[in-house]
Amino acid sequence: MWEVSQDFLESIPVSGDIETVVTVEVPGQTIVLDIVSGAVSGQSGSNVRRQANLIVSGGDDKDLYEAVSQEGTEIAIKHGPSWGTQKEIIPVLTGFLSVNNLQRGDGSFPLTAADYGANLNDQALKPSVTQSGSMTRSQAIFELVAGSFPDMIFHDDGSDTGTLSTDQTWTGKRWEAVNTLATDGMTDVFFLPDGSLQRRAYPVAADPVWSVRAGGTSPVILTEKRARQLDSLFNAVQVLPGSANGTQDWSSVLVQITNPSSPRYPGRKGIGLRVKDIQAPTAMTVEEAMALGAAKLDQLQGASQTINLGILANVALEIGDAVEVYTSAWEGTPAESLIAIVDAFNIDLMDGSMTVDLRSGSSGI
Amino acid sequence: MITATPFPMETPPRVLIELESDTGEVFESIRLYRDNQLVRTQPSTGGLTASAVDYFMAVQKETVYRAVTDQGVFTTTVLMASPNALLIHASQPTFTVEVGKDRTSTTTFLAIGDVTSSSAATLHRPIGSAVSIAKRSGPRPLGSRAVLLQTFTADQAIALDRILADDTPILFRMPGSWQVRFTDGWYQVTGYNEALPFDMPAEYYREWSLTLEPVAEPKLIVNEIWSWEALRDSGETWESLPLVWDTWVDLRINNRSA
Repeated sequence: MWEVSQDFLESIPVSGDIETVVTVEVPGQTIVLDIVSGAVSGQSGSNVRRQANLIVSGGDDKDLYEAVSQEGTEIAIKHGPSWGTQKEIIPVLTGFLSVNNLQRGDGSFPLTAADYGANLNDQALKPSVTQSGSMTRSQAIFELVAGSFPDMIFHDDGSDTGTLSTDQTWTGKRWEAVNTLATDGMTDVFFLPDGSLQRRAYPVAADPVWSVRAGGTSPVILTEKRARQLDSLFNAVQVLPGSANGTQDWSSVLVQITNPSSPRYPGRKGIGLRVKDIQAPTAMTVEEAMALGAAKLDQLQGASQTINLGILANVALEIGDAVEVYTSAWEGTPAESLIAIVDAFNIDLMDGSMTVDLRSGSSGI
Repeated sequence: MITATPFPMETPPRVLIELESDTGEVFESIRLYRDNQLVRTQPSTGGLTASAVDYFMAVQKETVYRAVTDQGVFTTTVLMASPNALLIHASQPTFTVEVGKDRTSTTTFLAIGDVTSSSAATLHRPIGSAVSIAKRSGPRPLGSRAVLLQTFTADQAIALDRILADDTPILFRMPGSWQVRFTDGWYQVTGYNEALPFDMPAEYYREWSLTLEPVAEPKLIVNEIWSWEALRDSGETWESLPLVWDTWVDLRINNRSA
């Protein structure tokens, strides 16, 4: 969760003002765009974690369109509340513009933007990059990102101190290599809304950063939907070595649900084995590979039931943050509280609301 | 020194702003403001005197003209004593329509109607809460409004047709003495209806209902010395037009390619 003041959090459930500032950096100038409408969304597990769809005014201004429609135009979107004479506008997306459309007829100018992950995902490592086995995974990740963003600021929670173990040669996409290393260390690597790089351990449903309430003293829940996905549910993870030089002494590890009472037990009628493959080029032992497989399987099971909440926007929330949810009592259903992990969100920049998709860390919510 | 002279009875009504150097040196830079807004027609520099014509002045209200020059800042105030409201076209001042209050020789207002303004704030009612929470993302939009005009002659109807035809925003200037709650400014005529009442009092009598939406000033450039007459007198021929001006916009603002 982005660092915000207590006043920021307290302003969310009261009537107040919100503000959005959109700036684009083009060679030689900074342009502030007038936003008409827009949203910033985030999703876990995809190469582009944060993206924005905006409509700005100036559809009849070809000079403005030409100025911001250059390759490599950087965009920064900030959003936040104001209360009294104070305001706190925090970053919600820093990245590059991906598509600009000049639109005649309605005066608008739609833009889409994505965080830096989109750029790294487009970059092929050719010639291949070789990293020494003595390097920590953290150093290796930073070196791969800094190869494209030399001034990148890197935050690491220090949960993984492992090394590459053996010399690694990367030939695919730059962001793919980063994510492989992140998975090996049981971590997520992503860009924070201010454009800096963050690495942190897989989220767990503990230590909530915020309470989301229906009714009571701090009402922020506007809508509540639950979904149970009853197909394509993984019940096994196959870990493959993935290293090119053959120094790993194991060939494949399968981690699967063995508890017959689990609804996803492979032996149950019609379920069978549903396997997710992951590569672990830096796991040198079977034990490491098994631990990795178990962690991934735990994460995959957390999506058996998801909760979609419409809430008053706390734009400081980050994917992977744990939140405490107090639901309202429905007819025949008592109110309940639970802790869940933010899996996806969509912030409406104009109306002060957002939706969040929540999942549990492991067993169902 | 700056002087501003109103011409309320000219067609269209206008203000002539004249600058004269106090130091005997030529002006190197001039920016002219009307009530703190940049005037569209800038006086040309390089002389001991400079002048500009403004068609967008307020009516029966003091208008402050301020020239920011390399020789200092000059300010003057002018009162345009035109008896009628002005509907001013964004780029063609000659399209200006004068609208009177009483049945005179001009187009007149029959009614200045309802103002409606919806809130831009969004309301969110949390589950389990009796009241909603409002989130604002800016001020309330200025209200849209309806006005009812009447024309008595074919010429008056044609003049209204002409100012409405190209659908650019129109600057409404209401005389100060009318004391009506109508904010001067740019309005988009989002729709209009020309009605022929059943109990027609005169052959050419028409009632026009216009719905107006307040909008930002449009980006257009006008050149006060450039007119159809000026083009005719410039000696250019029909054949020479594409050689002298690259586009119709260049022609309109007299931006010669040669």
